[in-house]
Amino acid sequence: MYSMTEDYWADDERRATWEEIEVGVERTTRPVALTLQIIQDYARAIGDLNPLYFDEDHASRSRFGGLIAPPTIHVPLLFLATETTDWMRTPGTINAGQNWYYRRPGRPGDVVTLRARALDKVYRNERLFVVHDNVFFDAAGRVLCTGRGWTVRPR
Amino acid sequence: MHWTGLDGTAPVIAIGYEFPPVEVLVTREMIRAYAAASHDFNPLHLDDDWMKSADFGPTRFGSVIAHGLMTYSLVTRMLTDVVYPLGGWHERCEMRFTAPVLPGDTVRTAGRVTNVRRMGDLLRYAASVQARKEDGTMVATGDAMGYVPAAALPGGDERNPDTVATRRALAELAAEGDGPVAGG
Repeated sequence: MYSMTEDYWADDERRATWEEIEVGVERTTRPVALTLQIIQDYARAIGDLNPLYFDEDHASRSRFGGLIAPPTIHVPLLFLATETTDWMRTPGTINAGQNWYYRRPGRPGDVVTLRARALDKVYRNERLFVVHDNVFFDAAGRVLCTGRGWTVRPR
Repeated sequence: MHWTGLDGTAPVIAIGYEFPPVEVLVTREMIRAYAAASHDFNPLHLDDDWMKSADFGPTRFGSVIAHGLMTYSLVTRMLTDVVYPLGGWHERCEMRFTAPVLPGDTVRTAGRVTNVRRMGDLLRYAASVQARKEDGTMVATGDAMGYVPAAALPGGDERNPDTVATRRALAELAAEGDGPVAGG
């Protein structure tokens, strides 16, 4: 099971700094079993009680044919799929912006994989940015969603 | 609370359509719950003592801040609340985070359809999306894209199963009255 807390300072010395982040190199990731609990915990946290995420009968009668995850399930998946030493976890990492394209819904029981890398690094207005490039796949290798984000690096 | 926009009458996805907003009072408890659910435990969101002293270049926040992706997710919820019951799909969202959200802030989302295009059996739309605090400060801005079955719109094809399914879903939701939906 996944821990419900994580000490972001514990592995901080092992995380790459902006200077050390290698553009274009894939980050180490691990498959994640997308459970109903992950889906529903996330939906509740954003106050989204859409029956497509909670009501099996309703969802089975929808065009999705069963329960699905909210589009933004990529948020917990990103953290569950990456190592505690991943530079994304560096304390003080500020999210500057994100864009995501949603190809198909995540579903409970999916085993999801992530391919992720730094696509670009930018020094601008006295800030150090990294551009993140992420693609999530289901177990059949089909794309679930793709996303790009900009973070401000603290060091 | 009720299903926004789902009072039994299908919203019309057309230029100028405004998505019913999602409004949420952000508390420390909500930020902590979001950290647990998103598995993002960055001290930015959890450690007030550290945030009182931490410098972020020219910026000092003074307290924990909410996750930018929490705001992004609230905007997404605003869109799916309308689009999913119409048998549609939320396809894309892009947002820049322009100001921090602090505990005690009320965040209100907004979305307005700016373009529509019939593409086969689908009506694809583009929308501008935003989130603001109660004092009007913009905390996130961007745009979104999605589609609904053209048959789900008023005047849609009664023989199309999407139309029938959508109207049935809308009728069921209307019959449920004050159904699920929380947050604000």
